[in-house]
Amino acid sequence: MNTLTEKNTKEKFLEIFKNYKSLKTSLNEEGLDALKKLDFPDNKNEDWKYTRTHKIARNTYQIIKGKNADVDDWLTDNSLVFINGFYNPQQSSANHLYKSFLINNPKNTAYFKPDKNIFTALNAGYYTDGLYLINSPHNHKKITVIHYNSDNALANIHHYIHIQKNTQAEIEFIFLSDENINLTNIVTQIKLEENAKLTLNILQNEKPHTSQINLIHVHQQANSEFNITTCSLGGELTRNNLNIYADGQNCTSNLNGIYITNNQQHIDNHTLIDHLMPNCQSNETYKGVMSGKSTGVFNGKVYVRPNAQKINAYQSNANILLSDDASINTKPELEIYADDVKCSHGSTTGQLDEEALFYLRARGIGEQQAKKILVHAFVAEVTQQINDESFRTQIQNLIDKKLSAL
Amino acid sequence: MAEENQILEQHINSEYKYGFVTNIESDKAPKGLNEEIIKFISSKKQEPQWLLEWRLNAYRQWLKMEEPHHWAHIKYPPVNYQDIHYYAAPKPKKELESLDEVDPEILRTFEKLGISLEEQKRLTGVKTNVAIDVVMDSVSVKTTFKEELAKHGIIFCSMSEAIKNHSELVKKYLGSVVPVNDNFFAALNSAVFTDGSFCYIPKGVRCPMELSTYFRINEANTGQFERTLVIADEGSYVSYLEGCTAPMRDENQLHAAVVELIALKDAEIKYSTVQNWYPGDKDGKGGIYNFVTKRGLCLGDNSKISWTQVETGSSITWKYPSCILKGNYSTGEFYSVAVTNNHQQADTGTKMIHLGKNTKSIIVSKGISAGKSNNSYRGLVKINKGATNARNFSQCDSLLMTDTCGAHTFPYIEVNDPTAKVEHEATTSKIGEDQIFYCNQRGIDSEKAVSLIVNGYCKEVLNQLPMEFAVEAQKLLEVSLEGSVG
Amino acid sequence: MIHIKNLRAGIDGKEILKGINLQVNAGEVHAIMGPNGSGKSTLSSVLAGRESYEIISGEVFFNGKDLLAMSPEDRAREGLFLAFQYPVEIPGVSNINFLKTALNEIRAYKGMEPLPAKEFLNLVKEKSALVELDSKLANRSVNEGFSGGEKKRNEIFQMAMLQPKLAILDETDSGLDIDALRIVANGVNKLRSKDNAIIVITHYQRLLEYIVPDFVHVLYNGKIVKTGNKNLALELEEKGYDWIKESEKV
Repeated sequence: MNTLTEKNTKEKFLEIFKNYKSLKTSLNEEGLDALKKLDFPDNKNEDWKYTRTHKIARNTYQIIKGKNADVDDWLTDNSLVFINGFYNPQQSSANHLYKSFLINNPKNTAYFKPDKNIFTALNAGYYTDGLYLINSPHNHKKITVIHYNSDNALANIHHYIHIQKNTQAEIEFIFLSDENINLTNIVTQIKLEENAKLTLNILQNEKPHTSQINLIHVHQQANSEFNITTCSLGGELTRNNLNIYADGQNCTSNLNGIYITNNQQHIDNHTLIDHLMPNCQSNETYKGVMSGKSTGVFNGKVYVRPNAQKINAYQSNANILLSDDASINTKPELEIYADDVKCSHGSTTGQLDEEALFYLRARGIGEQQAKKILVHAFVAEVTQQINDESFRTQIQNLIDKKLSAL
Repeated sequence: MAEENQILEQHINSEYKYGFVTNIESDKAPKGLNEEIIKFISSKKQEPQWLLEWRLNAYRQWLKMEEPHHWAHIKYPPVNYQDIHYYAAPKPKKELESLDEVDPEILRTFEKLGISLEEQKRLTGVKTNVAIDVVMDSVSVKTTFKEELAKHGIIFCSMSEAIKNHSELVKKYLGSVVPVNDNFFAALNSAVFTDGSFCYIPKGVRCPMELSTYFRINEANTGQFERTLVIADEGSYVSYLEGCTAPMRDENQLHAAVVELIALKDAEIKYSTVQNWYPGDKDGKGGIYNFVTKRGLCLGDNSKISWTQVETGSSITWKYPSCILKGNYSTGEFYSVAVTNNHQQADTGTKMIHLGKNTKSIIVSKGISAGKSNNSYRGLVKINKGATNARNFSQCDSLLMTDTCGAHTFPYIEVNDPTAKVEHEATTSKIGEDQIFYCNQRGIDSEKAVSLIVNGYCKEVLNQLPMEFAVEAQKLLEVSLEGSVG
Repeated sequence: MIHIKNLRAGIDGKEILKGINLQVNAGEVHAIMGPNGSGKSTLSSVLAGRESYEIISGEVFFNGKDLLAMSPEDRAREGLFLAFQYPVEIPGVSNINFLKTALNEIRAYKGMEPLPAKEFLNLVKEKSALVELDSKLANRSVNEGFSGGEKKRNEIFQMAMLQPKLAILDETDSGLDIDALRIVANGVNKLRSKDNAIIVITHYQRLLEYIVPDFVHVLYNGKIVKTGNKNLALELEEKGYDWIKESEKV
């Protein structure tokens, strides 16, 4: 019915790029090609059933290089800063690590296709910059990548991270913004070679009018270990797609997440762990706390391919609703085609434990404080797994601050 | 290994035990579907005008709808809806007054199925027996125990009879739980249903026996589109069973039934199904497409609807017996065992829609996949805003027998009220080799061991079945899984 | 200390306390005994402020303040302590962090500075010894994985840490073996002083051999039907509650 109007929306949206000069890389071409066939998802699209992007589609964004941003609190002696999708060498302290994704055209990691949805196609067709990072075997220092979005920008960022055989790395992604209506559309391709290890910690803490569509595409080879913790606190609409392809034996994948929402926020975590090879394990824990009129979405899929025997896959999603108007839609999925596996998932939704709340209050702890303690305890299963102490403390402080405003 | 192969051999050769054709003269409508056919069905059944219009409305809506294979985890070639006979009634010699007048050929069919109407007749008057309505190719053949039930004011008859004799009740409730445009198959059913069972339990009556409908598809190239309506008035209770079989045929046959349950204040309906439609052969040829819409409405406070299903047959099963919990303190339950083997595909589960306050639901699903089959649980738990203190617990377990089958879980959980408590757990695992070995070591062969283990695995569900059915269900599980340990 | 006047309360529309009158002064230990279902736990829950209970009528003054008007946390801050019959497990919240928060909130209420970490830890050490509580438990989550006896000892340990004016011990003896009972009772006795008061709620006389009460009240059918000294407990032990029930009927 709505095809005509939807088309108009898409065409209008694409006007943002009318002055964009494509480098005509193969990825660009693939993206633009895919874009022809794709449109903004409607509610019939199973993948976007609970996350409506029509508001994003109707906003007017611009491609604009930003000025120096207020990111001082987050800078380290090993950080890289992207503003509105463009690299900012003035504020970056780790310029030696920066190789632009624009110049180095890596071959796509396995299973990555930009035609998954309109956002990946847009990203592939029109990315403005991104990291091309091949880790150094000798330097294990944590790398902080700060993404700041401002002035109604649409930031199309495309990173490529490659962890070499027998090496490891620790990376942190921080997402911040100003008060304008911004959109971050980011794709990160990650490749872990044999026996490589990567820990990726993500903090999404944008201001209330910035939205984010985030795809992390991970290709794991044998004996590799991938750990990711995604903490989503800010933003208006956040959609995280995390796709992990465990494409070698003895892979370990740990996926954890926290989402804490209030007001009109909408945070959607879609995860896929695709076990292609035998003898692998995956552990997933996502915890959500919703208040105000906010909505949380969790869709976690565990996929075990034929002949991928001896897989241990565990997934858990727990949610707490703190207000009458908050809601949660959760869909933990298992799709299993091999028989010698142990896969399980659990999902719970409820309130804070009233008995525990009373116990705390009966010991003299005020109601607000008691609720905070219980929320911290609730998300502790995830926060305690963050090994990086400074990151963990930052997250805990931000959660505290967010809960104080409730 | 050798022994296991042998068992596998046996299984491959084990045939569908209910697959025989009965030679009964039948009264068929020409193939195809259009408004004329619907008018033909309606006039054949001497239906009132409102029902004909209701059917035509459903048909017109159906024309605009799409088949739902874009989301379900099933694959099948397109069904040619014009290549089906929409009306196939076993041709009766005259009006049936007593069991003696039923075509002896039909009676023999049911004897072969183990459902002896003769026996039913002999046992008339014994209080705790099962009253049976038999539906063959969509037409009700005979309902037993009618007089006994009438003493309690219970109406249990074929849908055709109900339309004639209890038109007001039918008009009031038909389509009230599953609207004509609910989904593709429900719309099709609404347009062309030919018969089915109708049951009304009056206020405060506890139905003294199990009510049962036995469904059978007999004719080739026919679809079965029966319609069941069960109404439990205030404070009443009924336990209702249905069983299904069909002959072996090479082509696929369509079964698109609609079941509607309505429980008023303080009423309880327990609805059990043992579904054993022909599943197709070992290469996936033939078999029934079982596309069924079943839904119960807990309309009154404190009402309860409980679905129990044992699904072993059909080449494709697509059904989600659901509960709409509208009354405060109402309860919905879903207990399911679904077994798939060879090339069978099942996409089944439930929907629990919580609207009233203090509503409760329980979901227990056990999926067992063998051969090259695919078995999916798909369920929705929805807590509406204002449905305070709603509770749900779901447990969905899958057991895999071979490395060529698939087991999938797709639970949708939508919570819009903070006072809700919703818990979902699911596991997928292989049948325990150590368990089988333990049994072997104690002198139990693998075949029997599998049956023991699977029955134990499904116990929670099987326990929900009335005694007569539980035994049948256990046997069915055994037959369905013969030699499935590879 | 606490003055309960004609207190009537219930839950889910059912009246359980049907007019309780009780006065407890500083330095006193009162025992409330009664058969199952007499309203003992309802009384402790109502005094601590559990929200699921409804007050029908009556008044409770705690050090001259209207107790029933206060939130549960303010009651605790004013010095009312309930040792729970079934202490809840709170996964993810460490015992030590929990206690520190509670202690400092109570101190803040009284206008005091938070206790320095070192002093706090010394206090933990000192008080946990009082009930022979393994200091390792301090780092575990609140009551999580504790045995029944450990949970009860932990309650008394918290009482020692928070130094309440009035402690209500709700069936603290239930589920304790004789050794644990003695440890708990010793802990309580060491905390007795002329400035505080204790209400011991129990089903059996056993605990009262260790914590000797000044007054014994018998609660039956939502009312205090008999009050006496410690000998009343012995009498109850001997004759059972049927004796009370009988005399009530007459």
